[in-house]
Amino acid sequence: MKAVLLICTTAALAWAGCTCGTRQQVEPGMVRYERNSDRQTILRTESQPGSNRCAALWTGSTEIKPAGTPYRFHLERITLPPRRIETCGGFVRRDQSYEFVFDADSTSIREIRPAAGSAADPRGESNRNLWSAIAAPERKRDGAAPPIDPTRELNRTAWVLARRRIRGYYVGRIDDPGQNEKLVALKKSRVIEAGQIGQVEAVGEHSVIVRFYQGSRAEAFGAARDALRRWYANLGGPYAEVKDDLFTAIRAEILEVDIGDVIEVNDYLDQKKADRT
Amino acid sequence: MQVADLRWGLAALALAPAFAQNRCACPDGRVFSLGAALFGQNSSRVIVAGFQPQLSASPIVPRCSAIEALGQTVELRRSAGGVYLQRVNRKRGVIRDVCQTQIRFISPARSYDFFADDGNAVTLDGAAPAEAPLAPADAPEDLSPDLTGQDLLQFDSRARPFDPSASGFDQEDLKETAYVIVRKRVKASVYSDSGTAAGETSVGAGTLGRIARRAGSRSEPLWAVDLFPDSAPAPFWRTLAASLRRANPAADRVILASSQLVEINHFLDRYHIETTRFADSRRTAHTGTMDLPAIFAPPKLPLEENLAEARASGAPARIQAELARFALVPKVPENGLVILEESGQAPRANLLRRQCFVETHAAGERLRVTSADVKIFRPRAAAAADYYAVDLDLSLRSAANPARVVCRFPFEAIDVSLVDRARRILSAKFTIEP
Repeated sequence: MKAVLLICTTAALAWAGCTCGTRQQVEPGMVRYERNSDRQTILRTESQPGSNRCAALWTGSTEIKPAGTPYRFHLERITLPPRRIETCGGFVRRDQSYEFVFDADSTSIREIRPAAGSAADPRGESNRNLWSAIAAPERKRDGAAPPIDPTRELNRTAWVLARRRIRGYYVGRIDDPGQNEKLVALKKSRVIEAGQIGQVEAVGEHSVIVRFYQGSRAEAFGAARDALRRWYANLGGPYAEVKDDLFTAIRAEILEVDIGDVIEVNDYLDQKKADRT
Repeated sequence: MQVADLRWGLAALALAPAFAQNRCACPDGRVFSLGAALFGQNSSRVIVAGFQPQLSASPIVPRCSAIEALGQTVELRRSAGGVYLQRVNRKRGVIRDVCQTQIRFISPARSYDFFADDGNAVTLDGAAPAEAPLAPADAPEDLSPDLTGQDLLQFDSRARPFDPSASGFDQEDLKETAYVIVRKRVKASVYSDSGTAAGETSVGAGTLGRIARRAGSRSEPLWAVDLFPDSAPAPFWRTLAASLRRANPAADRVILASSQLVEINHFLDRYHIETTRFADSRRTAHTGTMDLPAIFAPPKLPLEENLAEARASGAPARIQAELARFALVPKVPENGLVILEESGQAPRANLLRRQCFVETHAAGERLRVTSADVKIFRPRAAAAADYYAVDLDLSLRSAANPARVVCRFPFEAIDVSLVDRARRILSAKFTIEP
C-alpha cells in the first residue's frame, strides 16, 4: 500500500504541468500556433501556491521569415528569447496520439444537462413572420482576417512545403442553390516540384489550398540541373520570365492539393534539425 | 404506428432517390430543400441556404433540425445611365427546430425559358455607374404636397423604408409590388388610371418594372406593370426615334401576361448576378483571398450547439435504434484491442481521426449488440479546451464472450449518418448484418 502511495506521489511530483481553466492540462512541450507558422512552445509552468492551477507559463517562441528575393528565397526560423505569459489557452501536444481506454473521459449525452436555452417558442413561427424567425448571429466584420486556430499547424498563412512532386488543381468559386459560395477544383492543373514553398490559403478535411511561390524551393529538394538557374537568378535573374511579372513581383499560384502532400515548415525543420529551408 | 410517423416515412421514401443531402423532411410531411424560397413584398425573399447540422449523403431523407435561411431584398437604384435593380443580402441566420414551426417552404415549380425566342434580346448596360445610391436617396428633399411629375414609387419608399418583416411570405413570386423583367420584345396594352386600355405600346426586352396590381386573367394571369423606361438600353435607331418623339409617361404603364415576365430573383439566379448592371455585379467588397477559409471549410460545430440540435431532432434515439440492429461477424479471427480507420488498421489512437476501437475475446464468433449509447469524449490532457468527439459505444456478445466497440468522431454532428460512417470503418474487419 505504502509503495503504491509512494509511486503515486512521485508521479504527481514528476509531472511538470498545471491545469488551465477548469479542465485542460498543459505541460512543457505543448505548442500553440500563430500566423505565418509562428509557434510558441511551453518550456515550463508555474502553478498557483497550494494548487495545481496555472499561474504562468514560460514559453519559447519561433518566427518564420522569408529571406532572399521574389525570384529566389528560402525560409528561416528565428528563435526569440523565452518569456513569461499569464494566459494558457490554445496549447496542444504536437503528437495527437493518446492512450485509448474504454469509458475514460466520455459521458453519455443522456447525462449531460442541456444548457438553458433563451430561444423563443418555435411553435409561433410561420410564413407570416418568417423574416423575424431568422435568428441572425452577430456578423464578423467584412474584410477582417479569418481567425487562427492555435491548436492546428495548418492555418491560413502557414508556410508549407510540397513533400514530393505533385499536381495541384486550380480552384473556382461557384454558388450553390442556397446562394452559398463554394470552391471547386478545376480540371486545369500544374505540377508543383518537391520542396516548393507555399502559404496556406484554406484548409479542408482532405485537401488544402496553397499559394505556391515559384521562386522558392527547399535546397534539399533541388536537382543538379537547377544549379545553373540558381546561379543565373543570383546574377539578377529571373531565369523564367512570365508575362505578368510586371504586376506580380512574387510569382504565385493558388492550387488545391491533397493535405498529405504538404508538410508544415516547422515539422519539416524539426525533422531536418535545421532552422532554414 | 402513429399517423405522423407514417407521413414521415412516406415523405422520406418519396424523396429518397436523389439529392438526399440537399433536403430534409419533418414528421408532418413538410420538406425543406436547399434553394427553396418564399417571397414577400418588393421581391424580398427568404431562401433555404443550408442545414444544421450539415446533411450527409444518405439514401434516406434526414429529419430536419435547424435550417440556415438567407433573407434578401431587391432595391431600386438609379445612376446616370438609368434605373437598375440590385439584390442585397439583408439577413442570414438560423431557424431552429423548424419542424416545430408552421413555416412551409415551397420548392419552385415554375420553370422559365429565358429569352428562348430572342436569345440576344437582353443587353445589359456594362458602363460603370458614376454613382449608385439608393433611388429613394435621389428623391428631392422638397416635401411639397404637389406630386405632379414626381416618381410616386420612389417617393413612397423614401418616406417609409422597406421593412421585409412587416409582411408575410408565400410561394407566389409574381404579385403586387414584385420587381420584374420583360422576357422579350412585346406589344402591350397601355392601361389608364381607370383601369381601361388606352392604346398599345412596344416594350423592349430586358425592360424592368414593378407590378402595380392584378389585371384579370385570360389563359394566364395578367398584370398591370409600371415600367422603368431607362432600365434597358434600346437599339441605336430606336433611341434616335425616341429622341424625336415626345416622351409619354402613360406608355410606361402596361398590361403584361405572366409568361411575358420573369420575377427579378429568377433572372438574377439564372445569370448568377446580383444586379441588373454588369458593371456593378460583384457581390461584396473585394477582400482578396481572406474569405477562402470560411468558404472552403465549415467551422467546427461547438459542443453545446451540437447537443442542442441533436436533442431537438431526436438523433440519439435513432442512432441507438440503428446500432441495436447491428450484428458483427469477424472476417478474420482476432482477439484483443484493434484500432480501425476508413483506410484500414491504425497503429495508435489519434485525437483528430475518425477511428473505431474494437476489443473482442470471441475469435470468429458472431457478435450481437446488447446495448448502444451515444457519448461525448472530452479528454483533460493533450487536447485543446474546446476539443470533443462523438462516441458510438456498443456492447456486444457472442454465445459465450462479451465484446466492446467504440467509434469516435471528432467534432462531428450527432446525426444518424454517423452509423453509416461506423459501418464503413468496421467493415474492414467485420461483415456487418443486417
